[in-house]
Amino acid sequence: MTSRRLESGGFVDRGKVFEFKFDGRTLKGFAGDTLASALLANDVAVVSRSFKYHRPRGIVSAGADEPNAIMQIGKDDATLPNLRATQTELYNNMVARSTKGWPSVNFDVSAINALFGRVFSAGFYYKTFMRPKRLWRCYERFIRSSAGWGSAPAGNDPDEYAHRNAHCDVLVVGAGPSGLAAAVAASRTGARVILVDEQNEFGGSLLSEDTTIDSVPAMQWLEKTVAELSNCETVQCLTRTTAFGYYDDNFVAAVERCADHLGKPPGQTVRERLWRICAREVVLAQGAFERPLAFCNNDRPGVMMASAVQTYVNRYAVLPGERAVLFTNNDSAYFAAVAFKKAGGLLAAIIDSRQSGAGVTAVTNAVDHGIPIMNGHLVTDVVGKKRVRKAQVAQWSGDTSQTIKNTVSIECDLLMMSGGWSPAVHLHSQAGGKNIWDETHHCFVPGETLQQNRSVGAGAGQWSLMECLQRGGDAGRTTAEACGFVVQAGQTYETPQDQENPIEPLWRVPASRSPDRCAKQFLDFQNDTSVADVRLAVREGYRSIEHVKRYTALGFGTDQGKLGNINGMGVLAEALEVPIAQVGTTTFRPAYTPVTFGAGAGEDIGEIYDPVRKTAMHEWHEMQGAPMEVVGQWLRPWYFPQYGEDIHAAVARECMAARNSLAIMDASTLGKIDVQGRDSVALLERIYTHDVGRMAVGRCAYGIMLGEDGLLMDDGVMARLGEQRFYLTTTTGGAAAVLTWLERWLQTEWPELDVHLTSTTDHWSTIAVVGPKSRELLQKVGCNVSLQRENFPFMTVKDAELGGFPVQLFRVSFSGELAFEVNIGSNYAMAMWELLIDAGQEFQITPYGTETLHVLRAEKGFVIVGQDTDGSVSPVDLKMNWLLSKNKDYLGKRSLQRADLVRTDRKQFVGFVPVDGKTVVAEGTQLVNDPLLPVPTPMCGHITSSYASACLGHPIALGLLQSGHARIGEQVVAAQSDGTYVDMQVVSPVFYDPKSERQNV
Amino acid sequence: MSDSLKRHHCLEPFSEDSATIGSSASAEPAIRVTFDGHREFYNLRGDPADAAFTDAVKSFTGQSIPDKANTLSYRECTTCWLGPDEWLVVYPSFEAGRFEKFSTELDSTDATAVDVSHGYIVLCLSGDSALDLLAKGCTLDLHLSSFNVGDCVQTGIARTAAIIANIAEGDHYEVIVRRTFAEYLAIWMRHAGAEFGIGFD
Repeated sequence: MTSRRLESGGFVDRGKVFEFKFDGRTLKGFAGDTLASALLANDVAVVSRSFKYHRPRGIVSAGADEPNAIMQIGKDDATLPNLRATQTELYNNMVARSTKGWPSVNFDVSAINALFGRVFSAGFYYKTFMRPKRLWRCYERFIRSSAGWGSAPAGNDPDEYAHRNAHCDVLVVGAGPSGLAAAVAASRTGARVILVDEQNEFGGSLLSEDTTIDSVPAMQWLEKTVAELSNCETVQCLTRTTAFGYYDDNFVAAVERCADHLGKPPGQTVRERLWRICAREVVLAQGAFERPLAFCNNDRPGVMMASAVQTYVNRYAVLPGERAVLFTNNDSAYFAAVAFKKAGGLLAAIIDSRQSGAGVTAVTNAVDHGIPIMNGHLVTDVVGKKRVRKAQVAQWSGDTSQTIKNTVSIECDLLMMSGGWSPAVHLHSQAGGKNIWDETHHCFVPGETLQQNRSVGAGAGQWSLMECLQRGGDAGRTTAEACGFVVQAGQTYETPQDQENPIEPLWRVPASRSPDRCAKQFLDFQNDTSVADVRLAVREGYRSIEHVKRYTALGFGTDQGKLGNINGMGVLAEALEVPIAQVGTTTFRPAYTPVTFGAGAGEDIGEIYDPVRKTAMHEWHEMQGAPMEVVGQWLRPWYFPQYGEDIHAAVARECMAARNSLAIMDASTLGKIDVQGRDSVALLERIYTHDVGRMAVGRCAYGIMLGEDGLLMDDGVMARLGEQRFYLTTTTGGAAAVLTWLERWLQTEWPELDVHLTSTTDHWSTIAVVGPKSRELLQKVGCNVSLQRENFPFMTVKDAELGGFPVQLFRVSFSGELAFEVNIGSNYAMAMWELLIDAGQEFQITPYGTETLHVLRAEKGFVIVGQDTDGSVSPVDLKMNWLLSKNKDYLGKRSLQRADLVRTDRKQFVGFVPVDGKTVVAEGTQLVNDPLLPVPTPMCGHITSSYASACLGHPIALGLLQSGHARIGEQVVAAQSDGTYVDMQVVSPVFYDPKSERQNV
Repeated sequence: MSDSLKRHHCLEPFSEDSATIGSSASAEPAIRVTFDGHREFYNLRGDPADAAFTDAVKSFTGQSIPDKANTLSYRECTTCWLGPDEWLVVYPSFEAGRFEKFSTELDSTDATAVDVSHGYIVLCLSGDSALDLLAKGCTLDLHLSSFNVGDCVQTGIARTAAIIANIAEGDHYEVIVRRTFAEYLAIWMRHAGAEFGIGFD
């Protein structure tokens, strides 16, 4: 294999040889190479196959616009699909694979598609696979398997990712000459500057071009400038960092590839870091993309962008061919041709489509290097399949509508092309900026901006080096000044001045046949979209560029049309017979280049995916081997198995302990809110449905709150601690929402109320001591207040000292048994819990978890908001009319009178017992009146809670049933998911102790 | 049993298995984290224009409440501004009966105080990379030019709410977080700090 590496020059380190594998072949490159430059150095012409026709494809560009060299990099779970070889830095032992072509890029069986190119036109899939409809499933399998680039790893990503927030006065995107000038100018004012560039080193076009700044070689200027920036404390320089998204409020997202160039990142190294940058001012200096030319077979390997050739020659010291032809419609490419010639390549001819050719500087330069120039000529076609062999050249009058018959062949293995330049207006557009068509340079340039950003350099249609430096420096000073920094006089730069002739647009190249019948003239290489496809779309009635894009897939690939879109718009404009400005661009959306999922996720994976909240007694529960249940962000013990018990046995034992003796539960997860201020009663009267003001100090009450729709939102016990002081509890999951709800009303609707709300959920831990022996237990550990019924009746609260600890003691019950809830400062909670457990041994104190909690309350018919209710249940449906005060107004009250809420056939809350006395139906099971009715059988309700009840000796269920309150005593049928039916007796939801005597003892 | 034996802060289980992550054991890590789980915290609500309230607080704490947004005052206790009518008073150690006295002091005013001492813990951060760590999880600009000694802010760090207080020159920050989110935050710090080197005391 030929080495195309030059003996000297470039920025590669010839002393550091990297071995790498490409499609199984072992090749060598140097440190400083990209995968693309290393492949070119090894004379690898075919790197991929195209999407639709499986045509062999080679490297076209040297940057983010590369459509063909899309690679799968790395092995196993660290593998990355669809990376651009042109932006992938080579490292030792890299393993790269083409993402297209089977069995190989050199022999691809699907290349047969190319023979049917005319059939596989735009819209082929839409038209062909629509019918018969039933066969779509079959088609889909084959179509899906042939789509996509690369494969995702099967296992977890082994690499580390991170997020980073950053703030600055001036963010400069792009470190070419204009970006560097902007960053230097801004930094000299003392402004905080962040400079990002996607390449491994700063310099941009200066790294590829042979020029001078202030009479010294540009490289010297570059070194000096980069040194100044990196030594400046207020400047953050980020290489290998792509600003990929520009969002509202001058918020820019960028991804830094910290370790991609190292292969396997060592140890704790972050592989990629997502920067979230808030900038006061943004300078966009992203440069421009060179446009291809749409001649026949312009996708053959060996056809490359002229500027890319210049980059490979000057920066990577690679000569991508031996004998080249340049085809151009503008002056800039002449310098690429000269660079190729100077490096030792043969340049057969410059084919310039313009009748008058290039300006003096370009022409003199070419002539000095002995390069023949043919003005008013075209390359209409190339010969060669896996590599260009000949260019077909013809004279041209300048009339695009004519066909061209007489061509001559010029032998070459490299065809350099340049169709002019398109500014990278991506971020400007994402920021909401408009683009305007520049009639002189024939490109879209940034117009009006909506945010604090400005574009400079080639990205703003400023083409000369002098202009880039000057405008860049101006932008740096202006933005720093806008941030309030004092600006010194501007710096001037001295650069060589070129005399140029203007570009003449050439959106498609005339061929030997009409553009609809000639060989493929590709616009978008990655998606195989051709000139003929765009014209077909117009014939089929598409007018909008957005529709044409979707019909032809123009600009859909990983390069997002960076290469082909403007040519496509030119072709569309011609076919529609409108000016290109009227066609406009498609929408620019983030991301500018693909971003890995890893960078998006950052560190928020695994154990820190979401906060896990644990109670103060959590360690004790874990020591007991209690399985945990996730409730919101909380972990709560589910049940406490003993001696290999299953959940059923454990829950039955725990329930019986609570009913017969003594049980204890960690209820700390309840939401708790302290309410104080002189209007506390007034606020709570409006929020809760019962008469809050009638509660005596020291009393507790069960309260519910409704949404404005009159439907149940949350519930809990509240206690009146003082005239204007309350303690509210909420459901575990509802705590934050309830506090927000209260604050919302207080702050936005009733600011005249003087009420202070404080969350005390974390401060207090709550221990429920439940069962007939609970009073004895508290007495045993020592309580300074009388616990007797007459002194401490049901539904009251007292400040007390328990076992030497200060506590709030509530006589409340969520089980129907005699019970106390102990509120204790969380730092003491574990000590209190252990004290109660030790003292409770003589009563066989039994800890229980959420499952037993649910069974105990279900036996009493207590509702759990969010389980028995679902946001469509009113308090009347729950038979909670006794809680609805008629003496006052409260949120949701009026809605309770709405026609739909007073219907008698609403789903209402009732209890159920299986007639067979043994089946525990699944929660969620649908209820029907008559299972024999034809499908779809009308459903009349569903089961919301269902348990085996140890103390009752049979299963119980709660649920919502149409007209349920009137149907007590009837039977309905539970239709189980396995197709069987269970007859259910409709009963009162209160199964146990219907007179509620036990909690009052 | 003495009070200190009965008190357990929420990061005791975390401390037991924490160590220096991300840098060699001998080198001083770029971030040090210590836990202070036994301070007292009072949530204070009142109208700063009400002299009765401000005087009462001043006579008890010996310092004025900070009236400038996102600042703190510091003497015997730290008082952090949380909102136009809300502050967090932090005493460095527990003293039985102090809150009751404070509360009584406010009785004659419209202001209120709630003892939330058991609801918070402080993670004290120091070291060259302390700000880098915070910048990974906090979207605010904590650069000295906008967040100086004497500043505090209620914000989010990673996926939890917290108060960050800049209490001393030279990269010392206190992160005040709710008890049940503290373990998450400590684990987050252990992950996020690994690239700099982080040690827990």
